[in-house]
Amino acid sequence: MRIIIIFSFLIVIALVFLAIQVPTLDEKKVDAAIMEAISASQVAMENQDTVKQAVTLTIENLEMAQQKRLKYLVSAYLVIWLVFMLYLVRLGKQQSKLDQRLSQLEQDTPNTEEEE
Amino acid sequence: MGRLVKILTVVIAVSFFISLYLIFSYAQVEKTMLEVQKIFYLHVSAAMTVYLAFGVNFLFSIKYLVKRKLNDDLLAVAAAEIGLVFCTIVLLSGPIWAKYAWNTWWNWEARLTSTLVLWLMYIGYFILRSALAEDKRRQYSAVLGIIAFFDVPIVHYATKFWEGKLHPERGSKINVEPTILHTWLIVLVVFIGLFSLLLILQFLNKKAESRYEALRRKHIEESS
Repeated sequence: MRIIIIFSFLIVIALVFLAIQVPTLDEKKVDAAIMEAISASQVAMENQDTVKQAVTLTIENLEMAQQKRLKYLVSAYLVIWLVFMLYLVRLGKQQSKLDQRLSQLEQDTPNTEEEE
Repeated sequence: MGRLVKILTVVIAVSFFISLYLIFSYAQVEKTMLEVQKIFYLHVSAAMTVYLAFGVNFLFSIKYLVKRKLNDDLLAVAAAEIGLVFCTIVLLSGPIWAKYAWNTWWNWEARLTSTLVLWLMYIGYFILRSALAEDKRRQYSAVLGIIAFFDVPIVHYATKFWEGKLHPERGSKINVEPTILHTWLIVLVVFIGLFSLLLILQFLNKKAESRYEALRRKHIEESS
């Protein structure tokens, strides 16, 4: 039981870590894409910085929104995992405690098995 | 039985990881809710499992009242306990979805309210069981289990009975991507399998508990 809990905990931690890593676009790639878009749309050269600023801001906003969504997703999965684990731990503890008490009682009353 | 439990545990553990893979890799990202929609797979499957669990409790409660067999009561209480766990999952994962989708953690909408009432009824079921003496406990809790189950159809058809704008109305046509539908169906099957496994484990646990109580009583009688 402990192994399952530790193993699943490690998996959940890894999932959380992976989930909140929003892929940030490489600046060089962004620059190249902007240059390509500018040349394709024939925007005046003096507007290049404005376009670059607007694009960078949009990317930042998109990444922030994605990060927010992923936080909701991860929290929901964590809550579900936590409820399951707490229940499984409770179930396991209940069972082992009962087994212990049962074997103790069976030792104290040697003839009960036959009588039953 | 021990071998069956072990096999079932392995099968469910493996299929659970397959489900996670399907949720995050196979199923398409839904266009409106984007990544947050992936909560839906576990939330809705848990809700369906709640129906199943409380349905099992309902059937075995009736069977207990008719035949008065201990095993029926044990199965009923085991199913109620698992149903309560899944209902807790529904009630905890729902607000996280709600906060993103509706910008509020909770809303006194028909489905949410009736689900909370369902959860409270089964909390009451366990309070009743712990409060009563053993002879009355089984009988009274079986009656409460039957009454409480009538909230399940209310939860299911809540959006049809009362106009709610938050949950989609029952029977309304929603275009779901096949990858999303397939993944959800697989997760649902895994949840049903998990419920069956937990039901067996809980039943064995409760049976051992009742055996312990019988032995303890006998022991006290013999020693006095």
